[in-house]
Amino acid sequence: MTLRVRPLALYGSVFVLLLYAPIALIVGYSFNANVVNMMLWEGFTFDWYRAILGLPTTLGRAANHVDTTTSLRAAVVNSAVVAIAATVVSTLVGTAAALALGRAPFRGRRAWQGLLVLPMVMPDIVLGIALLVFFTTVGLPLGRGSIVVGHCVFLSSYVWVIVSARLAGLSTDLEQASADLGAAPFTTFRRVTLPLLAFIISLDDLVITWFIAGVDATTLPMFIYGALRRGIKPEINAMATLLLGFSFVVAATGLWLRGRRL
Amino acid sequence: MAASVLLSITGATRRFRTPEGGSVHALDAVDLDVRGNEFLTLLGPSGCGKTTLLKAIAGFEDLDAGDIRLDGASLRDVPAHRRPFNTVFQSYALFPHLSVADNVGYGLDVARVPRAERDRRVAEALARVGLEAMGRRAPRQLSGGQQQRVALARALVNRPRLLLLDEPLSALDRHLRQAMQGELKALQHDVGITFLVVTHDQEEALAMSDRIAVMHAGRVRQLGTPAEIYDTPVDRFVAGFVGASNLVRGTWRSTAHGGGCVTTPAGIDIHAEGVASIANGATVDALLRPEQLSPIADGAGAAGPTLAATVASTVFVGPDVHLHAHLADGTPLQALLRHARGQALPFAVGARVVLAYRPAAVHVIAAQAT
Repeated sequence: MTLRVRPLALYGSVFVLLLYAPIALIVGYSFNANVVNMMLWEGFTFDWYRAILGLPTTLGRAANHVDTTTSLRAAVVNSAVVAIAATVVSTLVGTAAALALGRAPFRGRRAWQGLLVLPMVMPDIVLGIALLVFFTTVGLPLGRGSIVVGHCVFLSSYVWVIVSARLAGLSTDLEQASADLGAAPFTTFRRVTLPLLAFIISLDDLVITWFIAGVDATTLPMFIYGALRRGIKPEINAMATLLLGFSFVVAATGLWLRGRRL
Repeated sequence: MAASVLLSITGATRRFRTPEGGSVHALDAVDLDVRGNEFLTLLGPSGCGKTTLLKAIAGFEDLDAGDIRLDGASLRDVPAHRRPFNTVFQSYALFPHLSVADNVGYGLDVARVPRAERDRRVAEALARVGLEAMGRRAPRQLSGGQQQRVALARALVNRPRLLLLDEPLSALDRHLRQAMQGELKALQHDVGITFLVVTHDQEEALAMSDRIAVMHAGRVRQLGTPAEIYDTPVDRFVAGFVGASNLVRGTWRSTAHGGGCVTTPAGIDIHAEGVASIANGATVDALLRPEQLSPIADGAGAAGPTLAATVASTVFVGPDVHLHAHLADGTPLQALLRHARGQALPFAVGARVVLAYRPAAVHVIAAQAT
């Protein structure tokens, strides 16, 4: 019997293994009952999840971690609010920009397109400092509102890129067909261009935007970074696992929507 | 049917910039009258300007010069959505976010036709194209042929003065295409709306049209009935583009009553009849359609003039056998044989063959300076 391992298959397996091994470890640790050293398996428990959700735990010794739970939940709520607000606002702003630059030719279009790419390629720290200076100058209080605005700056660029690509793929035939059937330009926009954009974009591309909004620099990761400085607590593992599960659900939904489109 | 002019195109010119900085004429001073209630086809190879002309009529393309008039009134300042024309797009351009019935009803909705009348007309239009049961489906759930019918119904339901069809059958497979040729023609006859079809398929044009405008390089080269275009093409381009053709260049010597002879440089004579207004000694092309040449194995029994040739190859295509031969001077000729079941083909490659023809079946074209 000869075992033939194709080099590419081998490479693919190693790649996936290395990519997911750390994640698998975290998932494993999140069920570990060892309070002191999570690298040593001591038994299976749901306690870390219970702790996050504020449910009573059977591990009294874990009480010293519970104080973080309230702020952890607040961070999750903050993250969700910022992500939703930023996603909605930047989708509107980015789509409007894509329509303007894609369907209405005017002078300097290419220069505008170049400027719109900039926030995406700019190092985060540069954008961050620029936003901080800007907010302080205009007197916008730093908080949830300023975080949403900051997110919208680069998220709008992402939305613009995605919608522009879709718009380019959206044949002008459909808009011409509408005009051909007697619809005035605004009627065409309202009854064809906009519904089609909503039809092909909002569903799966909102997911992408959501990902960028939710994962990149929200309050939850900030919390986790902060918590890590004080030592890794098993709750973090449970939190990461929950986030992971949530991400899988969102990604699967996105793929499913993408698959059944048109 | 009265041949009243519905649409009058005069001097239509459209130039496009080339990347090299030059400009190319997509339309070069095109004059064309579209008659009421006719089936007119714009036929030509890609890039000949036929689609540009269709778009100019629909209002999606501006003219650099010239005018398009509907009932004598210029359409220059009339935007596409105010022109009483409807288009069947090559891609069908069905709205994917609307059901089949809503696609068909779109024009009526935009025109604010009352609900009851709108529904009745949508149902009528769908029934006319045989899709009465498909109204609630999404366009993507239909086959290509069905989508095309929806596109037709969506355009016809508005009762346009003129229906524009851009390569309407190009996306269909061969069988469906042939069936639809007949259906389109019958439909045009039934609804009594003028059809203007753009196609590059000469068979399609011959099969459907009342008249054909053959276009090349932004110009209408010939306008006529399918039989006129096929039998008496005005130049080598039209002769070569429409149908299979044997074109033999030679010098015209006229005898009496329009009769005469085309003599090739090698001294081969092709006799013709009914040729008018070609000067003696002019350089001409003799057009012999393959089906006008009757191959005879031994030359016996040929009543009229003949051409001696050598068989180069035979191709069996089902109903016919294409016989490729060449004359003594190497000029290639194609002839058509009816396939007779159970009979072996009497022409071996390399064998001598005699091609008989009637002088009246030879069309003589004066060669242009080009």
